[in-house]
Amino acid sequence: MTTLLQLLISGLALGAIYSLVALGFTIIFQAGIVNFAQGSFMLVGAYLTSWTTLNLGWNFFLSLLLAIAVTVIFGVLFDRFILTHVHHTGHFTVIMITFGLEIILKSIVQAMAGIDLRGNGDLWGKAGFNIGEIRFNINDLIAIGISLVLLLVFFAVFKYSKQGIAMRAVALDTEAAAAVGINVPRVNAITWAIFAAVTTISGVLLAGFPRSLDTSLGDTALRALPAIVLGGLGSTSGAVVGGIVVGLAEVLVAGYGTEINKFVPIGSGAQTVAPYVVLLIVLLVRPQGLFGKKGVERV
Amino acid sequence: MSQSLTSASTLPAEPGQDVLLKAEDITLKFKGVTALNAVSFDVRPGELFAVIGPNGAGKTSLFNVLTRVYQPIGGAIHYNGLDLLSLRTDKLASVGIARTFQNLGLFPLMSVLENLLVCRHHLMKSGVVLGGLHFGLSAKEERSHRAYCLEIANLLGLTRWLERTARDLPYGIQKKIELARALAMEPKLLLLDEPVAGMNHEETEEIAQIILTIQSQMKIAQVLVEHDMAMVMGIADRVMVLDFGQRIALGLPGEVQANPEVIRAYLGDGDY
Repeated sequence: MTTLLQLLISGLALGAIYSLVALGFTIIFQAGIVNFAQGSFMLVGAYLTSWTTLNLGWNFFLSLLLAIAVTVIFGVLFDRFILTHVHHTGHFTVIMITFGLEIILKSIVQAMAGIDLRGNGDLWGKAGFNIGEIRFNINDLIAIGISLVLLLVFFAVFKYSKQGIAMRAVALDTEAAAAVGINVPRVNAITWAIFAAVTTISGVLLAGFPRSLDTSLGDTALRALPAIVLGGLGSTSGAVVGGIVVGLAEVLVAGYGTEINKFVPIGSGAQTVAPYVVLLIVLLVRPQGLFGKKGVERV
Repeated sequence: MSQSLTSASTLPAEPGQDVLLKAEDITLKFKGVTALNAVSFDVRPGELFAVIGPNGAGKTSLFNVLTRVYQPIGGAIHYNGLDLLSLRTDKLASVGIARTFQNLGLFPLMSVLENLLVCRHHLMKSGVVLGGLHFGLSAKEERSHRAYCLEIANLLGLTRWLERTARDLPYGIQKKIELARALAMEPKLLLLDEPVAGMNHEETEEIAQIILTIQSQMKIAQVLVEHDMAMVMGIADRVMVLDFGQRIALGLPGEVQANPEVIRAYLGDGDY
């Protein structure tokens, strides 16, 4: 029982971070872009925070703000000066460009930072406390708390605000959105800014205890893909639920690996596969994903 | 082109009549094909102005020029003291031009009310933070926008559908929602792209009635691009006929209907 509770807390913390990653992917997807560069945004954000804190001695929060500012500006410029010009040429072009950006940024980070593990620079490190036999890591609690707040703010803004309604309108029909007076390029810029901020925060949280920072961090963005499909491609609520399911599945399978092996010899490392197994089962029952609408609006 | 019946100036001028939109010699070409050839017309405030013509006449091209999708290679369009051709599509809302789409341009996953509220976007002042949190001025402002949308919905008989998701509703209702959305923008000029395409007789009657209500009660000028000649002749103030990108007639419905060139181009070939 203690093990289960312990794993549920870690799983929830990891799932909360995956939710942020999946949400970031989804809002860009809703703007009509399949974005394979998300991992490099996480990477750049986390390394900038880590470097300015640990190497330059800045305050962690100041570093985080700077990292957010840099990735936000970069994301907005990337959309305005590159994606806008190729968007009409088709999805494959866009996919290849985001894929290329991922490779370029990852290589730059690898060249500058090397492959050593490092801390993310946060103030709480591996601090935590015990209640009974259960260990609460501060980083886990912060991950859950921050994700919760960000998600609530996002959904409130998305549902009720002028900008949120404009974002949804652009996602549903760009031409009609322009016809009712929505400045589409501006909405796209705001979308990229939100994406970059959320992605940087998720990257920094993901590099915190019990994990650490290295250049494979960005691969996590790929691990959020089953979360996105599981939740229903293009659905923001689905991204959040999918993220939590994938986080829990990963942590539970890792935690119970030994027990599972007694019944089914799956060997070690099964946690990497677990999200895809859950994904398969869900898609067999609900091909459109948990929150997906039948028939995709935009492909 | 000899145009015996086409001069708008031959029509009796009403007192205080001025021009809301004036298009002069609009020429549009696609890779050598002339879609519109020196087309000129004007639309007066509150007027119901129809553009008709057989398939391929250039109706849609003209509509796309007016909605700033296509840029003509020649000509000028003056709208309410502005150079329309210098405006981007998303600026039209703020100068008072609204449009509907031939194949429905609703936001399918939003509720009917949200579809209407989106159109108030250009009229809303508060930005993301206040708007998101429903505080102070913002809440008051939103109430007034909401009230306006409810009024429009009521006028078009959509009140009972307000909370429903747009795409779950029948096509006829969706068409009305689209009209309501355009009206919620408080336009001076409404551009309608074949509003009764694909509709049965009753639905066509209903839309025609709404268009007349917009004209008589709201005094909004309308440019109606339409294939359905019978409907147009019944409701339009003036009609312009296009054929192969040329204006072949412009005048009162009765005059246009009697024009031999129109009969030959539009009615004579059995296309209608």
